Formats: sequence, structure tokens, C-alpha cells
Amino acid sequence: MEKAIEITSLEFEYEKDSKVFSDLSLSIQKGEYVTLLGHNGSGKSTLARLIIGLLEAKSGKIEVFGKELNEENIYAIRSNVGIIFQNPDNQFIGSTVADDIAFGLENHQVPHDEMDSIIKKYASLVGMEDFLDKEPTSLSGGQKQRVAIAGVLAMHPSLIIMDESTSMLDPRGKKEIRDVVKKLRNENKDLTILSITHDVEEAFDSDRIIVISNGKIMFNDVPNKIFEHEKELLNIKLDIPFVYKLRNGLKTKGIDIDSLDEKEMVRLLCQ
Amino acid sequence: MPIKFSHLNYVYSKDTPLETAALHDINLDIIDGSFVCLVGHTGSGKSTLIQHINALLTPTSGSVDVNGIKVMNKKDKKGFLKSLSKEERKHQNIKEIRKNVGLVFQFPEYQLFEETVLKDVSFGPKNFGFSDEEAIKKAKESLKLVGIDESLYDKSPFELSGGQRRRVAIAGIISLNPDILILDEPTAGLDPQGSNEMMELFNILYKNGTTIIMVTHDMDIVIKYATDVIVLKKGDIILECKPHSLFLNDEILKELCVEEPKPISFAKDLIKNGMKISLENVKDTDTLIEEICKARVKYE
Ligand SMILES: Nc1ncnc2c1ncn2[C@@H]1O[C@H](COP(=O)(O)OP(=O)(O)OP(=O)(O)O)[C@@H](O)[C@H]1O
Ligand SMILES: Nc1ncnc2c1ncn2[C@@H]1O[C@H](COP(=O)(O)OP(=O)(O)OP(=O)(O)O)[C@@H](O)[C@H]1O
Ligand SMILES: [Mg+2]
Ligand SMILES: [Mg+2]
Repeated sequence: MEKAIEITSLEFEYEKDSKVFSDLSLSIQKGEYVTLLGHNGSGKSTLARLIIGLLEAKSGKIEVFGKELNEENIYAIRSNVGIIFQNPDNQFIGSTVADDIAFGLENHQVPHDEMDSIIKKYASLVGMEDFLDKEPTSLSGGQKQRVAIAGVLAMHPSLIIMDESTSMLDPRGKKEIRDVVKKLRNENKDLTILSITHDVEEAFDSDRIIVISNGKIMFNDVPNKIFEHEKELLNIKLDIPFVYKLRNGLKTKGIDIDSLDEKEMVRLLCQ
Repeated sequence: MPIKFSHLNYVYSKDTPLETAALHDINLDIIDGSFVCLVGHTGSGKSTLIQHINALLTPTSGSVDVNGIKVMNKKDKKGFLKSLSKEERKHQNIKEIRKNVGLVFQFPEYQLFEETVLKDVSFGPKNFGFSDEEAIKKAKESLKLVGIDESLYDKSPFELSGGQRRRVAIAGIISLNPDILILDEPTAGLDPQGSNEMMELFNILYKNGTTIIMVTHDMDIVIKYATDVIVLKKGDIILECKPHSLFLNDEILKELCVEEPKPISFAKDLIKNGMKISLENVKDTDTLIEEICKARVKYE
């Protein structure tokens, strides 16, 4: 299997003697959907910025789609990677929503006559088709996040890094965006997603979860396995999804429900 | 400090091509000591509404009355002041509102501006007349409450992670001990433990008499903490109610596009399948488990 991201012995610090990462290694396969979980300040956004070369590692190696991140390759790599930043205002370039979505397209040599329909397509995917003429900076918080997502999706990157990109949407809005991403992954099996979130229900949807704490990988496994570590996760300020909490809580009260499927749990409890 | 919205309308960029009507004829009373949650879809007008309470925005028409002080646009306020006696006019200073109403923005970066975290959080108290020493003391207390480690005090707020920034922004406001605390999605970007701790902190302030007005998409928070819920849709208030009555009514939920908290929907499924539990008592996973245990004891 080809790798989308391969990080080996990464070392990074913003300031001398306060390392964010001292020896981090991880890899993500092409086509995988991986969630990065970790407490505030654990290094998630820093890692995202290192992967697209906005920050430079002190030592170690980062490879994206088999190319080593260095001065020579950085633009080739970036043209393949879309990042949605934690604060969408850091993202907007165009003076209207339409321009903003178009900006990425122009960089990718999309013919002009196709542009309008692509802009509309991606604006509607995130529910922003009625806002094409508005200024991105004078939108509501959730609208900004939706536009930021549309702008990145429209570029057809092979790797999308989503840094808490739906933190200001309601559960339904989050689900809508996840469904859009799911659809794109169905159309393109090679599309790789690295999602950073604090929402464990959302993380549950991914192929794999990497948990970091203070710049170190604590767990790296499929969601089912990760969430069996309730105590350890709570210890590093994280949480587990509702069904796990319920099952574990009932168990301490002597009620053993051997399922994590809500319907089945209800059935077992009402027997 | 009661708050009263009367026939408030707000239009962004009025009389320009970008004109956007954000709020229509808002009438709303918020009583002292309540914990109000404001919910609604993306762009429904929540942030616009709350920014009127501390006069960051002034109404296109209509008014907000905060403890007797009117927030109005310039023209309306002029007319209003004319109708008052000299004595009454003295009590119409917007600065009084700013002192008593604290607002934490949806994007915390827009309220952080000092060189260091500690300077940033002590700015407010200093500005409202505390000595340097007192202001620093207050700042340190607040930073501790929001879980910011001392090692970050001398960092620039812009060298913090997203969640750390949000915590510092919240500390900056609570260091002022406002009578009314307005929070625009205060838990977005916080890790789960941070989010719980922050909610407990707001709950303590509420119990000590602070009025809390919070915008949130997290229905688990609404059910657990709110005394009242206000639902906005496209600039209109479409519902004001108690949290449980919102989640008890399936039809309303569907119409409002509000997702119910997981413990509530699970409890409803149990009830549908014959278990006798009282939905009113379910506030989170722990209380759900208690109810299940109670029901099973009765059964056996
Ligand atoms: N520009 C910067 N200069 C100096 N230190 C920084 C800078 N940006 C972040 N840091 C520090 O590096 C550490 C990791 O920050 P990072 O933003 O990667 O965390 P995060 O995991 O994304 O957290 P959050 O969940 O709060 O967004 C934090 O302790 C933070 O204070
Ligand atoms: N500065 C602005 N200039 C013009 N229009 C604006 C501005 N800010 C918000 N709007 C518009 O006003 C409407 C209400 O926005 P508001 O920010 O109050 O929504 P919200 O309920 O807080 O949404 P969200 O949950 O996404 O934060 C939206 O349609 C938005 O596009
Ligand atoms: Mg971050
Ligand atoms: Mg808002």
C-alpha cells in the first residue's frame, strides 16, 4: 500500500528547550480516514502545519505521497494537500465567497467555463449556494467554516487535513459535512483524510484514531479498540462515546449489556 | 440586571448591495439569575442578538433595555434622552453596561491583543479601576480557574493553541466579575475535560447569581445546565421554553431541526419499549443510568 503520510522521528520546538515533539513517528495509508485526538495544546495543529511545510522540523523526516518535504518539493506537495485551518478567517483570500472558492481552482488550471458550475456545486454541497456574492469575512461563524470547507474540497486535493473544521456546526451540520466527505471518498478511493477534532462521536466514524498527549502517541488503533481504554483516555482529558459510557456505567451497577449497538442495548435492557 | 428586547431589528450593511437582515422584531425578556441557552442553525442570528446586550451592535430599530439603560441607535437614543429628566439621563451611560456585561466572542482571537497572556487578562480589571497589583491577582485567579498553566503567562496569546486561546479569552472576561456573562460557543475547541470543567465553572457563577446567556450547538449542555432555551431561525425567535419541554416534544424537535441529546433519545427508546423511567430526571449519561437502575429494581 502506498503511504499518504510518513513521519519518522520528528522533532520540533517553537522555542528553545520546550519541545512539542521529541520523537514522533506515524504513517497514514493512501485512502485512509484518520482522526487525531488529543487535549488542548497536545500538538495537533502543530503537526498539521508541519505536514504542509508551514513549520520546519528540527530533525526527522516527513514524506507526503512518497515525496520528502523539503524546499524543492514543498510546492508540489502543497498542490496535492488541502488544509482547513482551525480559524477559517486565516483561510480566506477572495473578496466574495465565489472568488474564494474559485481561487483554489485558478491555481489548478481549471478552464474558465467550467468554473461557475464547480463553484456552485461545492457551495451547494456545504449549503452556501445563496451566499456566493457575500464577503467571506462578514459571515456567521458556521457559515465561514462551511465556505472554508467548500474552498478546499473544490481543489480536489488527494489529502485533506481538517483542523476542527466543523467545531461551530450543530450535530446535524457536522453530519452533513461528514456525509459529503464520505461521498467524495466513495468517488475517489484514494482520497486521504486527516481529521482533528474533540468530538468523539465524530471520531468514531473514522478508520483509525491516533491519540496524542503532550506530543507523544498514546494510542493508534481502530475506534472500537481505542474507546475500550476509558480510564486512560479520561486521564489525558479525553472522553469516550455515549454508548461506551453507558455500557461501562451500567456494568459498574451490575448490569451487563454485551453490545454497543443502541437498538440492541435497548432490546437487552427491556427484556 | 434584567434584559428586555423590544421590537429589535438588525440589518447588516444597510442600504448597500450586501444588505443582510439578521434579526426581525425580537421581543425577549431575560430575568435575573437565569441560565439561558440560545440555539439555532448556522446563520440564524445568535451572535448578532447577543452582541446587542453589551452594545457592540446597536439596533437598526427597536431597543434593548439592560437594567434600565437603553441600547438604541444614535438617532433613537437622542430622541429617547430628550424625553428624560437631567437626573434620569445620568443613568443612561453605555459604559455602565460594559462594566457589568461580559461577552466572550465566538472566535476568541478577536478579543486578545496584549503582548502576554497575563497582561491580556489583567487588562480588563485595570481598565475598570483596579490597581496593577489587584488586577494581576485577579488575572492569575481567573487563569487558574480556566486551566491555564503558569508556564503560559508570559507567552503571546497568538502563540497559543486554539483551545488555550479560548481559555484565556474566557479568563479575561470572568476576571471582571460581570453580573451578566454572555458566551458565544464557549466550549468549541475545548478538549472534553476542558469543556466539562468550563461548564462547571459557569454553573458555579450561575449559582452565585450571575446571569448566563450562552450560544451553543451542544444539546447535552442545554439539557444539563439551561433554565431556559431560546430557538432562533432565520432571524426570528421561534420558540422559548424550558429545556425538557423542548426535548419532550418530538414534533417540535423535528420542525426545529434540533438534535436531541443522546441520553434523552436513548431514554425515549427505552420508554417506547416498555421501560418505566421518568424522562424529566434524565440530564446526562449518569442520570440515565440511575433511572435504568431504578426501573429495573421496580421491575424485579
Ligand atoms: N506560534 C507558536 N509559538 C509558540 N508556541 C506555540 C505556537 N503555537 C502553538 N504553540 C504551543 O505549542 C503547543 C501545541 O500547540 P498546538 O496548537 O499544536 O496544540 P493543539 O493540539 O492544536 O491544541 P488545541 O486543541 O487547543 O487546538 C501548545 O502548548 C502551544 O502553546
Ligand atoms: N459582519 C457582517 N456583515 C454582514 N452580514 C453578516 C455579518 N455578520 C453576520 N452576518 C449575517 O447575518 C446573519 C446572522 O449571522 P450570525 O453571526 O448572527 O449567525 P449565528 O446564528 O451566530 O450563526 P453561527 O451558528 O454560524 O455562528 C447571517 O446570515 C450572516 O451571514
Ligand atoms: Mg489546534
Ligand atoms: Mg455565531
